[in-house]
Amino acid sequence: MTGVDALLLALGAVAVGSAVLVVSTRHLVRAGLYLVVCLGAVAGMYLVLAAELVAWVQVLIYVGAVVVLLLFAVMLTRAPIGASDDLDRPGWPAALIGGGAGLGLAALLVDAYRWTTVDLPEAGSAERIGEQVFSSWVLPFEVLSVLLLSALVGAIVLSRPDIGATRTDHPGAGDAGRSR
Amino acid sequence: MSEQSLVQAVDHLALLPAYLAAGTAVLVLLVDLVLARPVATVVTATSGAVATAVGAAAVGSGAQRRTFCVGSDCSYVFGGRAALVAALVALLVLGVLALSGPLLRAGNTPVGEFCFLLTCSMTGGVVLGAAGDLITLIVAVEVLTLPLYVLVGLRRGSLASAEAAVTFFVVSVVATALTLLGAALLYAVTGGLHLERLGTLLADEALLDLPLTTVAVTLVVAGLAFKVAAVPFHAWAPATYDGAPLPVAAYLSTASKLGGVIALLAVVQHALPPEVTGPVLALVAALTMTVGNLVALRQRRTVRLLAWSSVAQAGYILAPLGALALAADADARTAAFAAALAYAVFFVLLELAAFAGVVALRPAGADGGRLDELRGAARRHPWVGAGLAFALIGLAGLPPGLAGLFAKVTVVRSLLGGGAGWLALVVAVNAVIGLAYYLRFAALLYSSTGDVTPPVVRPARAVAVALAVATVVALVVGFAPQIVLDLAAS
Amino acid sequence: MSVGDFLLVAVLAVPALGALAVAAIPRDRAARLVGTLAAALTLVAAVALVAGRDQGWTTYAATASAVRPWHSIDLPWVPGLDLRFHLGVDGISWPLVVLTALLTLLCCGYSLWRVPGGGDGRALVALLLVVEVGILGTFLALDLVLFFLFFEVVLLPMYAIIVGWGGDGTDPASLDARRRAGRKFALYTLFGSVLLLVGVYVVVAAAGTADIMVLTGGSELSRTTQLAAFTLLAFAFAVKSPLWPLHSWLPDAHTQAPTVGSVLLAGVLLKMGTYGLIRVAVGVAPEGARWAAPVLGVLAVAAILVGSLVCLAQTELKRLIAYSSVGHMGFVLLGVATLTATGIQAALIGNVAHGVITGLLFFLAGAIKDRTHTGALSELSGLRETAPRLSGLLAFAAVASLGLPGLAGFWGEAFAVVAAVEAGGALWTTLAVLAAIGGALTAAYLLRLLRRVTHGQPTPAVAALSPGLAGAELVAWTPLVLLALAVGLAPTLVLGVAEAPVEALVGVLR
Repeated sequence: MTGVDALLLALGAVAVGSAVLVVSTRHLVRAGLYLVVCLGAVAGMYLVLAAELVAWVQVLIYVGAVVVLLLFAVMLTRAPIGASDDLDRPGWPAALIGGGAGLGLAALLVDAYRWTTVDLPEAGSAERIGEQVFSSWVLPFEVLSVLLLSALVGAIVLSRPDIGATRTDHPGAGDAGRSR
Repeated sequence: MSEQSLVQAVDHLALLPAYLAAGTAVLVLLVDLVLARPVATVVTATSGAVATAVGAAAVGSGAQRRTFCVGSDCSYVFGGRAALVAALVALLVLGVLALSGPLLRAGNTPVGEFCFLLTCSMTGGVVLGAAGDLITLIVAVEVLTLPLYVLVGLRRGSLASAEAAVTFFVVSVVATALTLLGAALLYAVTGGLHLERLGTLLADEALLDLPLTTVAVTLVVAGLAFKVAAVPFHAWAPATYDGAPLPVAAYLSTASKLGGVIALLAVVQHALPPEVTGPVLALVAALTMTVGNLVALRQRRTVRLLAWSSVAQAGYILAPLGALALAADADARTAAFAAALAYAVFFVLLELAAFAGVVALRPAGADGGRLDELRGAARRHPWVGAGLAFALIGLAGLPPGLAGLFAKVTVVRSLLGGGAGWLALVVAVNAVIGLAYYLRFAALLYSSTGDVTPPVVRPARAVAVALAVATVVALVVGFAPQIVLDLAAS
Repeated sequence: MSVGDFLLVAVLAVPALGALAVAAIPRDRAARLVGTLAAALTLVAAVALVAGRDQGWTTYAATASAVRPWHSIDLPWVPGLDLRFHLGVDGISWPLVVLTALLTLLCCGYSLWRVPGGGDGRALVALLLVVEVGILGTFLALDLVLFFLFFEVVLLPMYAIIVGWGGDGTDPASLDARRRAGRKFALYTLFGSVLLLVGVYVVVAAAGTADIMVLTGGSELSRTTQLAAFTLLAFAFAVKSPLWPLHSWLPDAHTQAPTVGSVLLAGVLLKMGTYGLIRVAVGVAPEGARWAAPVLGVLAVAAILVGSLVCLAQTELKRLIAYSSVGHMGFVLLGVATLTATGIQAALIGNVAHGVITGLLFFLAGAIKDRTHTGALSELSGLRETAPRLSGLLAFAAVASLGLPGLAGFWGEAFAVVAAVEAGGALWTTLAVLAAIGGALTAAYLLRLLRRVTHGQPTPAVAALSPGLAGAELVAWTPLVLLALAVGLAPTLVLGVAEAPVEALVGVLR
């Protein structure tokens, strides 16, 4: 076992452990912070595998943007900071499904590869990824822009009940929208 | 890889339909912003949909065009089938726009955003038909579906609509995750993502024996089966259809379902081994039609009945694929795919007509309501009622709905040609169950109302036109089904 | 296109266009008149088909096919589904074509005079014409898929006739009853026709063609295919015919349908089943037919006996006549099951005779019910006292139905029994004996019917009747009375034209 393997294993353990904590903790804020650890550990794994761009994207977008957004949402909705006991549901179905899926996938992959050694491809540098995206995968990349645009517009439409409300501005429309 | 030039030749003519569709979406957004007049927005969307359909037909009439190629594998293959799908999706969008007339006029729905989201979805459908690799395929399916999460939730102030949107969103995201996981595992097994390349790679016996391959294939098929609303991945459909505004429900059960079918067809035909997918799909098809029909028997709400019936219809669409494993040679397999596609074409036509009829007979902006609310509707509106009854009979697969009859005949023929007689019998028995509720619905339209006087509804002109066009087209392909069969086989 | 081919198209096109015209004409009376005219023209064209048959016979004599139509047209329609627009008429189908055209004309004419309550007369006539197109198309089709298509065409218009114009009264209970009857009819029949669809494509997938002329004889098909195909097809036709135990849709549908609906249902719709059995099931899968013949024979005789016994216990006029159809069609099926020339001839003439006589019986039953507003036998006694003509006609029809020699009903039943005896063996002899007993039971229940209805003291409902018959009724019934006599006295009217094609068909069975 090389140092890389050990590092991967350790990061994997951190990721799985913090993921379990995310779903098992009763503090909303703590769950968000554990998520930072989990996603950060995954980013570390990417780094170990020399996929630097993916690693930084992971840190910037998931750790930086998404989790911060989550925490803001928690603050803005005035969710309780302390433990929220009423939130908990029985955990065993989730544990069963999550554990089953994880172990099953692991078993499948182990079965498929056994002890074959796979040479690592070239490092996942920004250049290489850019090349891939703009030579082999231009089409899905461009189509994704339509997807993002529609997601953007859709999010605005859903969050602004006043858009498209009848011009006469009767008060009912706005209230009804908010009460959803 | 690094010595390859980053500049590649792109066949812009092949991409024309996609450009037209995406351009329409952007144009709709701009027109809405600049002119801020609902009529202008709708006109833009309408003409864009027409242009897309025409463009697709024009490009598709030529030879097959391939672009975005890596070696011999291409991400975008625009041939006869892609043209058919693109044109069909564009026409369905046109039909849905017509059905949306009363909804948009009733206010409460943002016209510009509605049209924009619908045309975005159309873009997904256009690209989907031509997708040549798994990534493009999944992205296209997502582009087709994502705007619908919002559209489903557009009935402001309706709890059902919001619930429908959330259900649809959650289920659809899970389905996409499954498909993506499957695609990733397939990549892990084969190292390929292009459909045809996957097909050649998976012909290898050693790979097929891996449990991982089986799981990957199952995940991809299951994820896409969600989109088609095939049993056991169907539970979202009735609630979502019923909660959505009627035109959006029409779109869900036609264009969106067609998209799922096309994605499934592409994956099964080009990429996945028929020995694995055939039996799975046969079972799924048999379950889907039986469960869909049996549950539809008990429905009391119009849209729920149509939703369950469309679940059942998905079973008929998938049925020809069930014969894949038994099909003797490549010819028989091609025939099975053509039969599935032909059935899908007949189905979306009749389903659109059925929804158009329901929209026409309901007050502007209302939901589908209970079946009883349509009692005697055909006596008050003989033409619209006749159109709706015709569509329902067609869905049941009986004359005078010859289009539906030929659709069933196509499926049964391909099944018996492929040696899956038992599935043909299942289809046959299901046709009988199906008739029970379609007939109940159609007879209800003509029964007397008794002493209850229902509210007077004037069918909107656009809706009536959509119904008339759909009915006339259904009549034409009913007498000349060879048109559809040829298109589907191209 | 020769005159014969033109007539062949006209037989289908005239009623189809007539139906469209009837639907398009806004004035009720004028529309019904146009419909009747279309039906009359159809009858003329159908009768005229017989002209020039000798020429057709010699033209096709050179070919090996066992089906040699007098006239035929063959146009491509949907190559992708092996469907061709292939029509033809020969001695087996012609009598049924004429019978269909005649009964439809009589029904349309009757509807000119009287429209059953509940609906619009115009729509009724249009639906009658559509039903006629479907039935005629079934008898004329020489392509299996086309046959299936026309088989299906009949279903919904007939359903609409039963539900829209049937029953008596508009109270919820009777509405419900006829809706249930209609739905039962539609679902049963569709069950039959989807099996037909599967059966048809079992044959087409194996043989690569759907042409009945090529397929008759079944030499190309393997034994397994033939057995599978025959099972499916026989099931399909057994539902339509109907063969016991698949008959339970029939009494309800016949009882609830309006008079004209019952006449068409009993008169010609059931014949689609028996005709299909002879032309398609036996013709295409002879090996399967030989294999299944004993089962078919046993079921046919069971139908005769069960039908007769149930009739003995019936207390409602229309229901009794409906159940009598089960018995009579049992004789027809017994004839087919023997697979001999005599048997098939018996089946053909039995078909025609049953169509004529039961058509007449339903017309009479309808007339009685319309006048007295009841169908219960116990409330109908003494008809002879107040309505002697009506009761006389009823007696005539009943006697014809029970198979009195010299009237139409005799030949079919007698020959079926004879064919079963000729077929030999313990099984067939037993069946013949049982069928003969069934014949006696038939006489018993029909005589019981007559005794209950015509004799005795007039009940209040009957006492109020006036003795006269309307002109339209006479016009509608006279042709049937005359035909019952004519076919009874000169069976060659039917058998003459059918002899050669039946010989040819039996030829391939051996």
